[in-house]
Amino acid sequence: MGRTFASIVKWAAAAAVAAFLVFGWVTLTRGAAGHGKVVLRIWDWWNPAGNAKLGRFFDKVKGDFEASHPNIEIRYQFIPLGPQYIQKLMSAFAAGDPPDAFQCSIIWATDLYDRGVIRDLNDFLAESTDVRPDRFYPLCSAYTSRDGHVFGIPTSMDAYALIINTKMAREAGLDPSPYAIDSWDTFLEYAQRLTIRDETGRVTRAGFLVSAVPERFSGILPWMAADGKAFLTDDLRSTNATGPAGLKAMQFLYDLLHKHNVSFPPGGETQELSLFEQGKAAMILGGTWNGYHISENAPDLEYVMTSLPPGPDSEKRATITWANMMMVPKNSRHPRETWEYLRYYGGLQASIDMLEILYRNSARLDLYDTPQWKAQVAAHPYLKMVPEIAASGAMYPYKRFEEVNDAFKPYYQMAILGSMPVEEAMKEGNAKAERILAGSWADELLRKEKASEALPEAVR
Amino acid sequence: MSDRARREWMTGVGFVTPAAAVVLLFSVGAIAYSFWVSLHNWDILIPAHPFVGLHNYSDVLFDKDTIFWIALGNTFYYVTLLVPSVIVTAFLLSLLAYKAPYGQGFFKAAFFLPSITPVVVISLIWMWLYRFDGPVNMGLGLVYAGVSPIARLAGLSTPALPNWLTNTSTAMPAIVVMSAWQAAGYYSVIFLAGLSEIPREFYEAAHVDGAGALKSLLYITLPLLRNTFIFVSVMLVIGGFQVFTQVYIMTRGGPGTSTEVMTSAIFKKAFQSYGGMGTASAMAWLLFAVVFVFVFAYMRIVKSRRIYD
Repeated sequence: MGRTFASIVKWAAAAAVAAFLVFGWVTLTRGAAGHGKVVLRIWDWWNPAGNAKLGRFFDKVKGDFEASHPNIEIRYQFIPLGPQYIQKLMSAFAAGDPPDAFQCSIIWATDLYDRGVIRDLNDFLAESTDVRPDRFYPLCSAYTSRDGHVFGIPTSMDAYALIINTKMAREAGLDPSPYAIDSWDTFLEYAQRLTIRDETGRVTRAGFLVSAVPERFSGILPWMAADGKAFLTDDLRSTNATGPAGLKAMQFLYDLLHKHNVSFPPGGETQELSLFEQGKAAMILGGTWNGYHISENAPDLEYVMTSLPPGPDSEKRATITWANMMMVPKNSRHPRETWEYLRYYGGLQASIDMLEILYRNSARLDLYDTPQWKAQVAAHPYLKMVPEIAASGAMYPYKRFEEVNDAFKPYYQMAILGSMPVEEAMKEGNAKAERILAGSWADELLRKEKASEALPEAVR
Repeated sequence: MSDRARREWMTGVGFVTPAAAVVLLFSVGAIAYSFWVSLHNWDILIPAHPFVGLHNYSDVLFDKDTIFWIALGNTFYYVTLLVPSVIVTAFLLSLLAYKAPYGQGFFKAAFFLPSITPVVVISLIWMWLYRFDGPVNMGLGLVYAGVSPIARLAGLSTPALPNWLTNTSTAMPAIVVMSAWQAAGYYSVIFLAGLSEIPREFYEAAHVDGAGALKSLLYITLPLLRNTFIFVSVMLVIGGFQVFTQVYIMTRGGPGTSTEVMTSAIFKKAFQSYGGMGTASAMAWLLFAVVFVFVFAYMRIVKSRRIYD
């Protein structure tokens, strides 16, 4: 009896293993063949789960693209944005099985390209003019190319923006137009007059929400830009955090929170947006992409987006601008078909779809001349300022951002929370960031490899 | 060996082999491989991995930018707060459920529910609870409103409502409270199992001898649950040293570095720092060494033994 049972179990286990292997093989080969079509695997973090409009957008792109390219099938895989995205991506590269194309943040793009895992797109660009760099905002090239080699096709155009509740501004007797706040002093006056406190002095409506986002130190970046400096120096080897722009920006944020008491305690980015949507905050530092969320969650809210007013050492409005991109791994199995997808996704029609479905602006310059853009501006007035905000931007500190963020963010947070004096925090944070930006053993190795590649074969 | 014995041996080996292969490949193999990685400079996107010996270990321990000591200190802080909190809460919950005349099953299920809920979900809920305008502060605000007239009479002012997760002093305790809430139910079920193992006769005899509830607790329940306490505390210490998800979701190690724990530091070094896989592996081995020494020493001190044979 026992032996019979053991024998049955053994055979059953063997059958299960065999079935598993057959199933796996069939699934894999089917994925590759796709009923005679080339299957492109595309990774993105714009996740339609819980967001029907994103689902509609990707359905539209997929439908239109597949209709015009009957030999290609698109399969999207959505991964949440954050460290898990790059972790999964790097694992896929290491395993030699990356997607055919993926949306890449500017904070990873150049580091991935430097590691030799991203395909140079120059050969494809030479064949087609519709997604050439000059079709996009000029700033995009700094993020999507290196020494004349293009490695990414820009998608949406994003920028930090000051978002102001115009109804609250009017009620407080303030001019709600986008350029009314023309200096940091005026901004402070607006923040103070828009703040409401209870009898104990506790803020019940924030004039402005000071940001200390748990994930990043980005709250300081647009303020520095508005005072005339990007966070990183031009050679990308140091920061301007300890310079006048960095110190003034940090001190200004600290004072808004502790001295002028115009803000709730700092929270996360999502928290700030939801407080703005609930009418608990009159001004926030958000992004041009927030218009979509506000339209969804608080369609009746009256607000305007604008760039940040010039700081004490600057004369022009500014912010931080960037354009994330689609990239192709070097060992993509179907580079030609993938390029067709990139051409479509970076093209005007997909940009119009993005605008009409998601109310988001793309990095393409010709989008802003289309009747669809004018119609959307009429429907969503905040869009009117978006092209100008996007054009006024300084560079995001994209170089080795994750590491610099891990090093600098704790000091930014301690400064803003008052756990450490501003100047000391900036100095400490800057020192750590500089040691990272100076390069690692891997950068040294890559430099040597590059130098070696430049040598003639015989010498190598 | 007879034919029958050989067949039985072969059958046994056949059953064990798949599981053993999986364990060898994915546990033992991966652990050994991580040690190999820790001896190299390692960027998962670069094929060359220069051998550096113990350099990564010395970097982790002595480099001026190392996060190791801060993370280790925070991890100890977390474990020190967590272990007694969970043990006391779980034990009290188990006593309540054990003494409940009705609905023991309901209490067990209710206590157990948080431990089968994903930590990510619980973390998100507690982030909302801890918001400066969230339910925790709303409750605290009501308490303040109640006591503030008395405080004013005494010349005192009520303190500001804390912003739990963005304050360097309160962030870690806030995470511990959440973790303790989540873990207590699971361990209360273990305590319940221990309680049900104690023969009723002991209590009856103690009662006849005039022992009250407190003496019964002190001289019967607690000694006879000794082994359960040891098991629970060891499991909590090991689990505590591995805390990651709630830190990652709720604070990302901040504000400042106040909640940076070993696992979050290892994760950041491995996946948010190009070329940091070797250093991260060295940190993981050092964490293993710390946990091993800690648990080994603890087990030597509080040896498991039978009570009242």
